[in-house]
Amino acid sequence: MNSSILLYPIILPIIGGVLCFLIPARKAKESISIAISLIVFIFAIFIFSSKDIFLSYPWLTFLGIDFALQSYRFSSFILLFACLFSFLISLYSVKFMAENVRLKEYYPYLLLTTSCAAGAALAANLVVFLLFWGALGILLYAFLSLGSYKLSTKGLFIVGAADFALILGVLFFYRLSGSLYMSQGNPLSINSGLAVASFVLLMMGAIAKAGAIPFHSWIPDAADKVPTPVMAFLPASLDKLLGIYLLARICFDFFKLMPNTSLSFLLLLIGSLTIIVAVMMALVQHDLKKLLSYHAISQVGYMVLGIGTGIPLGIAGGVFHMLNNAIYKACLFLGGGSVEHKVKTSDIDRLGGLAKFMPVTFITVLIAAFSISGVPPFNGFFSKWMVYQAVVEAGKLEGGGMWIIWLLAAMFGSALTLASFMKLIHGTFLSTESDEVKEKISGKTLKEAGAPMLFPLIVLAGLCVVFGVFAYQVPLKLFILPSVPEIPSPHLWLGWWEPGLATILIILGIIVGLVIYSLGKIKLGRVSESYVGGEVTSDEMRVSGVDFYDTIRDFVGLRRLYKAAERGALDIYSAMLSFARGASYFLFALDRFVDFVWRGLSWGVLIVGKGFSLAHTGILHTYLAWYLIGLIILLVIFLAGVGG
Amino acid sequence: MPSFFLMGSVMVPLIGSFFCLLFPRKFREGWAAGIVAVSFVFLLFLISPIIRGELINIDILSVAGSYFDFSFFADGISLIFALIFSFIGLVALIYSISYMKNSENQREYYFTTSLMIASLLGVSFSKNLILFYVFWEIAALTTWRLVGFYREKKVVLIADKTFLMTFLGSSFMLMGFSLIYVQTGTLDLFHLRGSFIPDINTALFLIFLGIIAKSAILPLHTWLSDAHPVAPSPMSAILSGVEVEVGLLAFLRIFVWMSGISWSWILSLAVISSLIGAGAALLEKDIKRIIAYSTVSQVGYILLGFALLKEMGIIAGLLYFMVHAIAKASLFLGAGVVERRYGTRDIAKLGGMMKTSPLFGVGFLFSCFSIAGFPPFGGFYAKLMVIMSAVKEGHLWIATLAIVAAILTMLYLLRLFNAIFMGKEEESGEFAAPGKLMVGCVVLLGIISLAIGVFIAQAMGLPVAAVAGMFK
Repeated sequence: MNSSILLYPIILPIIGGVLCFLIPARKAKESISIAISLIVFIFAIFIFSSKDIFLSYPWLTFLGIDFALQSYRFSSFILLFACLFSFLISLYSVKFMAENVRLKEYYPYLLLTTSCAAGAALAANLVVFLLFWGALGILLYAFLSLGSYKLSTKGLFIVGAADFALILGVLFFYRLSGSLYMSQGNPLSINSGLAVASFVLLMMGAIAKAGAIPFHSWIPDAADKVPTPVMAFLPASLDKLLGIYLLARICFDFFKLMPNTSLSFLLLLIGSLTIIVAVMMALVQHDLKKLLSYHAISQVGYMVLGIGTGIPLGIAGGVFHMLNNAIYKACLFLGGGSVEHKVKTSDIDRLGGLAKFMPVTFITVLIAAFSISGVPPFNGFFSKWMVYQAVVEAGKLEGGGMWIIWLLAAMFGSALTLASFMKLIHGTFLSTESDEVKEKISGKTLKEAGAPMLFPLIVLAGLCVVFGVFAYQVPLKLFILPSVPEIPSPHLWLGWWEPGLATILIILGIIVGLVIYSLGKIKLGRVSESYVGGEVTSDEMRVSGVDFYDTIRDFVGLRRLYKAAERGALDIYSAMLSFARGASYFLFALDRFVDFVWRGLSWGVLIVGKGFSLAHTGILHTYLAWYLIGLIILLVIFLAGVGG
Repeated sequence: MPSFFLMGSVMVPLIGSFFCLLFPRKFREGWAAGIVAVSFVFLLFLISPIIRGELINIDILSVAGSYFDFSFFADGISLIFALIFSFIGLVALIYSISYMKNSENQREYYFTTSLMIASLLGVSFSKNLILFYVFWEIAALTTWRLVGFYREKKVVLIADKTFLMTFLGSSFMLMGFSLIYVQTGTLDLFHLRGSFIPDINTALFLIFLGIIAKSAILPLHTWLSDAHPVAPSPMSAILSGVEVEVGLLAFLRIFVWMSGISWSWILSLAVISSLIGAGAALLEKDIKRIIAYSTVSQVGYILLGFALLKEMGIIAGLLYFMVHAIAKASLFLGAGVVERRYGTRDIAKLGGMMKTSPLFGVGFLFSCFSIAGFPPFGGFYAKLMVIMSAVKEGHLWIATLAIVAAILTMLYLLRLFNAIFMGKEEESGEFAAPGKLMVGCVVLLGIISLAIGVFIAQAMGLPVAAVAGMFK
């Protein structure tokens, strides 16, 4: 196959984006966007199914840098999914974005983001990589500006600062390895201060893109401001794909991350904190999209945790979780988006009882919710399982005494995830209808979202099932195992979890249960009023379940943390801003001091001048006196010279 | 033939500028822009011989053994500087046609501006250090006039500060030149290149004082942020975009090209200057002062690139100079548009301009992104390569501080952009909407910033050829 095929996923969306920007008709924009992203997706399938392709053009020749692109298993798998998401989001946006006032910009941004993501995934050279990676930062700014400018500034500043850290990390890596080529399979060992600095800086860039703590704070802010497809596209899927892709490559292609070293601990700590902190925040959210956005952060923790173990199984688990997360999180956001599209609100308090009216949305969101909560046999369970396994395995190695903490954090986080999704599912789809929903029902406007919105949901939910049930046969075999080097044979760690068998058992169990249920109880089933302490509830009273977990807020110790978090005190953005401001005051003071010195000099000159001008009185006698004094001084000097 | 173009590119604006005093108003604007345009076109003809590696040399008045020759030469370095000088000058003059429409003393304005551009071209091509110094001071004098163009008491004082601080530096520089002459008996750059000068370090140190005063580098930088707010905007664009960089040209010519000497403390000075500029820009409230401090900050990067004395650093510095001149000119011209529209430069009193003039906003944003160093804009490659060459030479702390300065740069530019274009829209009052010509200049430069980034391999052609010629 011709190697220039690698250029198409980069160039076609750029052309499409420019066309979208120039052609004013809405239909044309939508069709271009869908067509281009579909074509690019097909190209991505070709690229994925062919062998490794390498493409190189002479570019910055004096630096020895070529415009080099490379597809191998890992990068082409990232490319494949990035293009898939781009296509699904384009399709979804047709209905969702139709009335948005800034539609003119939306599709160009979408296509350009696809192009840059493809470029970043395929880059074989670190400068090429930085080019596309940094351009994604600008596009993030553009996308977030659909929400508000403060938000986009915050997003760009956090991501941009991390990008600069990444640049420095790349340059340090260049100094260590002497090459800017992103090679596979010969990692450097982390044995010097420079290597540690380089690793940490690169890691910062990667986890900031993925949205781990402490670089996450723009995501919840964005959740209720930008259009939902943007959330589903960037923080939910694309940023995870790229950020974790980079993190994984740093840990096994750039450097060799050894288990139970301090850097491994750092990653494990970041991972655990991310899981717990974000999920605790998610528990108390009232807004559907905000809740989802905290989960988008929390799940990164598992990926970082898996990769941070430093053992191949963990890296594979982390990468697999990244893939699964992208799928179910996009599904959740898009499902939330269709609810919002129909009811015009995403506040869980004001939703409820939607299952009857939007069955497809309900089922797909339910599947994705099970998946994210790690309920077998869906895909989220499988990858979390691999991460747990890896944490335990790493704990068996020397110096791994802390493993129990990481494992507890991960499992606890998983339980809390399930808890918060129970709230979401209940509050949105199952509880009694809110006034808004009732209004929509009476107006007969509440029905399932249109096919362009349902199709992506069904595809994604289907992938959740397939990737869970046939985990070994499909995703692991095709995507994950070829991407991660040195992974032990699956029999060694996969042995006693057979997802296929387990699924059959679960389905059997459900069928048996249904049979028993229908045989025995179905006629006895009853519907009763909500029951509160012996009184019949009034119509106004409904339990949405949103405040289920509000008691957590009032736990001793947690209360203050929640308060602080709500104030934004835990936000790295404000910390960075204060730091920048403080540093600036210092630097500005230096600047003013220098200016003061120069002003002082000019005053000094003026004063000396004034002093001399005072002497010029114009009176002859005074001048004569000065003359005599001068003569005497000269005489004294000369006489002293002669005497000496 | 190339020597004709070289001669013409300096002489046409130099002599032509005096005719600005004679011509009537209608004709004057076109004349001033015309002579600079002719000079720019002449310079374009020089590109291909220079890339082929030719050295263009003209001796007009040359007396053996004398300290003064009226002679010029062009190599890659001088051509890059001259091209940017005349291009930015041309754009600023075209912008002036609309911007200066209603001001007094236009005769003086067009004369001094075109003379200033001519003197900048003269500096870049001078072969003799005294000639170099003469052009250098013509540039300083015209700057003095243009900064003080509005003639109020305060404005004139600031213009004096500008002139005195740069002159303080350049008088030391002249001492340095004399020291060189005393030891070698020549001030011809060709003869001086590579020749042994016993007391070179003292001479170079004196010259360095002149350079930092002109280029607004710590500790002689404080005149720049005062000068900008009072100067007319097109003048600001020339001043910060190109005139300040004359000092860097001198550094490149005298330190790097002539003697191959640089001191390691210059690297620290450059990066600290960069940090101080960025920090001050983050706190200032006047648009032009913010952009002026940004110049202090960015010039530090260029000096850093040059002072590494390595091929890659010099190429990076040259690219940085090109990119910075274009983007910075765009920002200053944009500041002029904003000032004309709202009658104020205080960022607290501005906002919401994106709604009324989106195209202008995008042009301004492109320039901000370019200076902040985001891909795919030209500034990304420049910043990346400067820092890359610092890392390659092992100056890791310098590189780290440069990255910190880059982060601060990003922050103050976002702050500036948000303050002008985002948020609540301000009443424009009695001021008219900015002219299309002015906005067009800003947007054009913004698009060029993007184009340099997209066609980076082509844009690198001239700097690479220039540096290759230098190390030959």
